[in-house]
Amino acid sequence: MIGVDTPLHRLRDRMSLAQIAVATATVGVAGGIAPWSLALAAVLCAWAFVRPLPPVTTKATERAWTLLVGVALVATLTRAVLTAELLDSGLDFLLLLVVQRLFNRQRAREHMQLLLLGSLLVVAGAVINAGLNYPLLFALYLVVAAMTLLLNHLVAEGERLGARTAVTLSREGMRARGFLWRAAGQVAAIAAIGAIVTFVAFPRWGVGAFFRGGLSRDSKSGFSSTVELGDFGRIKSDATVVMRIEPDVRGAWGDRTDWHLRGSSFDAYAGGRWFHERDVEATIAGGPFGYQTLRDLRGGATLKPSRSAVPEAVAVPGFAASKQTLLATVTLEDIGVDVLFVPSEPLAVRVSPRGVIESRARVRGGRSDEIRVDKAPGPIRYQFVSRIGTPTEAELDAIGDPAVPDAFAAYTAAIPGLSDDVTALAQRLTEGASTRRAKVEAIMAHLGGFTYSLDLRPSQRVLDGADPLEGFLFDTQAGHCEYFASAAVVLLRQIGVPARLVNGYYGAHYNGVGEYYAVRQADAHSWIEVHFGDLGWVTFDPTPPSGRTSGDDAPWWPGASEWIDAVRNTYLDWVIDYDLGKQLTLFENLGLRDRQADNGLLRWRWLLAVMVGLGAAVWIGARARKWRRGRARPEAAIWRTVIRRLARRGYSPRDDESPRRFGARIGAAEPPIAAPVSTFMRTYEACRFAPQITADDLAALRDAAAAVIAALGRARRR
Amino acid sequence: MNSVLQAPRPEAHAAIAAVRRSVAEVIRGKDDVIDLALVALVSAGHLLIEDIPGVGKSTLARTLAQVVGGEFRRIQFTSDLLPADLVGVSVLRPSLDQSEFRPGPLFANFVLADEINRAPPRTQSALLEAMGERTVSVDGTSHALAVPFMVIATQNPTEHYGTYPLPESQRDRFTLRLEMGYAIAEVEAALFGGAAEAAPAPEPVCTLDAILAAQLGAQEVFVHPDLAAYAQRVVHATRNHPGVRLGVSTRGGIAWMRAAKARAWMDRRGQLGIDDLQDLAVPALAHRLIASAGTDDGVAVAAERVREIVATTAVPR
Amino acid sequence: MARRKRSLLRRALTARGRSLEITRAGWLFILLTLAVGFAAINSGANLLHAIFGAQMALIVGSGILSESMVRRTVARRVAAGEIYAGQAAAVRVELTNLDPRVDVFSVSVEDDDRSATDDACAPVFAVRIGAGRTVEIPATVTLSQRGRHAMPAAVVATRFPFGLFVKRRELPRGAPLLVYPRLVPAPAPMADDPRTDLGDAPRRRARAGEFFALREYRDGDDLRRIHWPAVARLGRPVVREYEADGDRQMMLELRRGTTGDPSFEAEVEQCASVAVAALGRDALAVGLRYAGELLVTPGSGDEQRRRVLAALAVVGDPPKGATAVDA
Repeated sequence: MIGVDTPLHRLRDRMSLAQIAVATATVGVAGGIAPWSLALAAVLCAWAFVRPLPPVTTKATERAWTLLVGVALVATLTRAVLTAELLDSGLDFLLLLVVQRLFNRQRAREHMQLLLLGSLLVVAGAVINAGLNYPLLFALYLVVAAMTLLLNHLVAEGERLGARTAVTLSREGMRARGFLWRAAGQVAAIAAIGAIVTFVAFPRWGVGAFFRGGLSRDSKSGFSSTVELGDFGRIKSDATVVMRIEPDVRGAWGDRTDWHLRGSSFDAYAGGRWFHERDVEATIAGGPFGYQTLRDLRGGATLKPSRSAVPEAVAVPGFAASKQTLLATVTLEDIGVDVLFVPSEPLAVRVSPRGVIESRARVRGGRSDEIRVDKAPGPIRYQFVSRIGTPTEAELDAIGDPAVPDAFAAYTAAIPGLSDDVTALAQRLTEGASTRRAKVEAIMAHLGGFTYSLDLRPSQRVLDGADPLEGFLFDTQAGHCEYFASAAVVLLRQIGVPARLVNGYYGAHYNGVGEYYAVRQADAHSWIEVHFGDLGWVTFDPTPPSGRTSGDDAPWWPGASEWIDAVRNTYLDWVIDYDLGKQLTLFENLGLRDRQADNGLLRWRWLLAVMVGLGAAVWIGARARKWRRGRARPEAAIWRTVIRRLARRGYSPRDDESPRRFGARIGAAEPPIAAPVSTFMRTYEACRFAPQITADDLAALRDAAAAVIAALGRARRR
Repeated sequence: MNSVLQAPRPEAHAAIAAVRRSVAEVIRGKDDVIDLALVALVSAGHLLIEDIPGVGKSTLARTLAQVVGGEFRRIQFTSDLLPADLVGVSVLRPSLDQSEFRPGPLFANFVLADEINRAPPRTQSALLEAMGERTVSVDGTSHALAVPFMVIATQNPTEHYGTYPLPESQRDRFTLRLEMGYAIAEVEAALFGGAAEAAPAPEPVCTLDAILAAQLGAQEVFVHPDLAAYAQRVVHATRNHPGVRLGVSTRGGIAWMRAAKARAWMDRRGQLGIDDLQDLAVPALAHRLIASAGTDDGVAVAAERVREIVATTAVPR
Repeated sequence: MARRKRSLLRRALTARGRSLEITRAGWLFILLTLAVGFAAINSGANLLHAIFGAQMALIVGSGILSESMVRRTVARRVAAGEIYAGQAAAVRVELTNLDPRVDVFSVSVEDDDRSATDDACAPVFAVRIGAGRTVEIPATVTLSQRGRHAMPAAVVATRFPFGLFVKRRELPRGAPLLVYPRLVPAPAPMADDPRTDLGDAPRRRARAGEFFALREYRDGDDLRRIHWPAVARLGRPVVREYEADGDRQMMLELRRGTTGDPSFEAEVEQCASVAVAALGRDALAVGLRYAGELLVTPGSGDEQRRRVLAALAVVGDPPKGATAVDA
């Protein structure tokens, strides 16, 4: 029965491949497998599938495969130990096993193993895939795998029962495949219900044994430590939502906010590239209520410990709006960066741990007041407190033109490689400006006359080797936000004003469906910060207002994308971030729990008490029913005792078997105990179906039962 | 040993035991068949014996009648037998100027209706009506039949030429249906050796009163509600079984219970047991249902269906 | 030892004629489920909880499904022809889905592997039985001993839906079958017996015997014997009967013996083979005597063959120590 090729076998083979494909997709979509190994595996699988399958695998081939798998295992272990890419190497090994099984898939056993490999891939997908596609893929996988299992089960039965059965079975199986699909769907539905119930109700505690961390990856692009000028242009039409912000106070921000969500910040520029020069990191300390507070200019905490739930900003002298803060919760998608985006001026952040893996996310200060984080792949949730109040013009003027402290030398350092024309321009623009604000305003006014454009054509000067900024300032006078911001910083630096470039997102769009603010990739923006002495860093945006919001019409179909994004947010919130707290909230909403019990310990005790109480109630109920039945039918208790003893010896009555017949069967099987068993059964039936039972009858039954038990004891000793 | 196990009417038990012994002397090696026949007798029912000719159907019926001491009549059913030939006719008596009823052979305690399926349906239904009503009416006058009254009908299953098989509704009148089967080898050999001729005609061993007492006793057997419910489940299952076209009627179920009670009584028990019902399920129920797969022997399939249903119905415990 | 353990486990999972066995794949699946469950509880990862739940539901659902499959299925094995000891005989396995609404999938009827007999029935498998339907599947049975025997103990088994668990339900044994003795190649001396030698045209001569009477057609009569004018006249099939010729009668003698005794069994088999061979020639009337007593009166035709074989199936004294036939 090996290597038989019938329509049923072919269908089973196709389904086997399909379930592997779906399982691989759950991992592949999340980027868990390197593209080259995915492609290689796909090519090999296709080859295994189209080549004619030999009826049996020869011994030599088998040995070769075993050797290959052995080598791969050693390589995988080595790779896991050396590069700590535990997941990657494991997945590659799984794919190799899949290929190996596909090449030798003659028997049902091998397909069972393929299914096992598929389920391992799906489990791996559950670990690394936080996308909304996972539940869909998982549902698809359930149906496909259930059908594959059903078909493979039929084929296996054919193999077990012999060729003659296998042939008819294959025919019947193909004929019944519509019904099999239905059955597979039903089974998948059962599994899905099980999944949902367990998911919702199974308590989350995250024991956390055997974790050693090390899951974090290098951030790849965008907001990394160096940024090439011109990187931002491309993403201005990308409507992908990168973060969602839920402010504590809703409704005060309108449909589109004007927050400058700062991500990375740079102090050094050379040859069209921004990078970090100053090696001082922002200092971050633990603060009240789990917030990690940034230090202010004087080295103190920016947050005041407060008894109220909302933390309070430390007031800055000469800055009236310095206590205006924004408190919000952010879900940041994994866009491959390790920066947290917070509106200026950031005061404190708090990362909400998600399970054991996420609790390892560690916030650290970056350079130039960046907030960087070490975390596992996947979305992250955090809260921030920002000072969004801005100093008035009068307050800025009052600062005058303070001397620059030594610590900020890097922000005033002249930019190398620029022609003197730039310096000359800066000086010409700021002639007569006495205060720092006046200088900044003059330069901003000059840039305000430029055109915003995403269409960048380098001028002759740039082609001849000059800095791209010179081309922007003197030739084209058109560019996008990065050029505006970079030019502003460069010009300010030339006249000794401490300034720096900030990359981040400008504003957020209100999503009425999900009631939060969504920030899209197209909202990426660059602006500058200028230091104003005691007032700290103040944000200026040299880009013309039309350029700031040029990404607003990125979505093709805004209504639909709002819905889709709201679903995605709900999924992250209630599936990926589902935890004990949410469970309890859910139970509260379902009326299963009292909202008042606030103490965590008490909650557990309460829950435990309910569970113990429920168990006890069930147990007592069962006991009581048994007891009541026992009192109503005393013979039943004796019967059960004897039946238990007989069952221990391997005899149980069939449903349709009367006690007498049961006794006769035992007697035939084991003559030594025939007589007492037969007497007992007869007496029991007499008692059981009598109009009423007398004490004498009961005594007789007890004697008969004792005789059976004694006979059983003798039989066992023998 | 047990009060509920003690059965009343010891003299009736003795009488039935004597009957069994005497019949067994004539019909040898067929104790189970004799027991079933006695169950039919004690439950005041009728008996249908189906088997090929020459296996002792008539002998059984005749012997039973002789041993019990009742009046015995044998009617050979033929295609020209008329209802009047069974129940009798009214004859006009000129001297008295009124009609006089001349009772037919049905007016006996034991009636052997031989090869019942050879008679036309009209005659059959006359017999079956008499069996059900225990009276016959001729010219508007009802005449009560003898007490006890028992019909033992035989039917030949293989010869269907020129026969009128009993419709199911009429088979329902018979309490039990059984097959004789060939005699076991030694017995048959003894018969061939002339044992049959040597045996003397059996003497009556009991009175009709004893039989009536037994019939009364059987009616008093206690039926536990759980057992009644069990019987109902089995009967109900015959109606829902996909392999059965027509299930057992309520009358069939009642007949089954009566037969089971008779069996329990004959076993000197005052109460019904599960085995009484299970053992009699096939003889009492199989001929009352119509199996849907009717290519081969209908009753054999029906018997198998009944066995199946009994095997899949949980007993009370 | 492993075998013993498995049987212990299976016995522990056996009750009321049902048994549950976990296959290798089943163990693997349970192991995987436990691993995922551990990982889920350990990490608190939400999706792992969902997978764990799906797997648990599959295990439980698998059990419930397979139970409902075997519970709703009744099966019986019906002999579809004559059965000779030691030879494969045709049986028909009827599988019925008792449920009037729901289909039954993937059930097999197999011999109970716990009973140790030489009797064996080929397993049959039904992919789907429609609601309330009966399917008939041909199979073969081999019963090793002549006599009255029930079919080998059978179970309805299912591995539905995934082959992770095997659920079995014992079936009632059913009515005993009559198993004819094994047929061996007929020994030469008997076939060449001058009394039974009928030359090379036995059939023609058989019909050429002396006309005796007309009688009703019986099952097994040669169709060529039907007397058509009489059929037309009487409206029922009748055949011509011929005077039995003493020379063309064969009486088989069997000495007294004990059932199960090898030499006696061999004689019975030979006797049966000769009878079948002789009755294959229509003209010969064959009878059977056992220990000097007449068991089967001489006769011919297919029915007679059946009678002789039936007598031979049960002939012989019961072995010593055996209990009476009917209790």
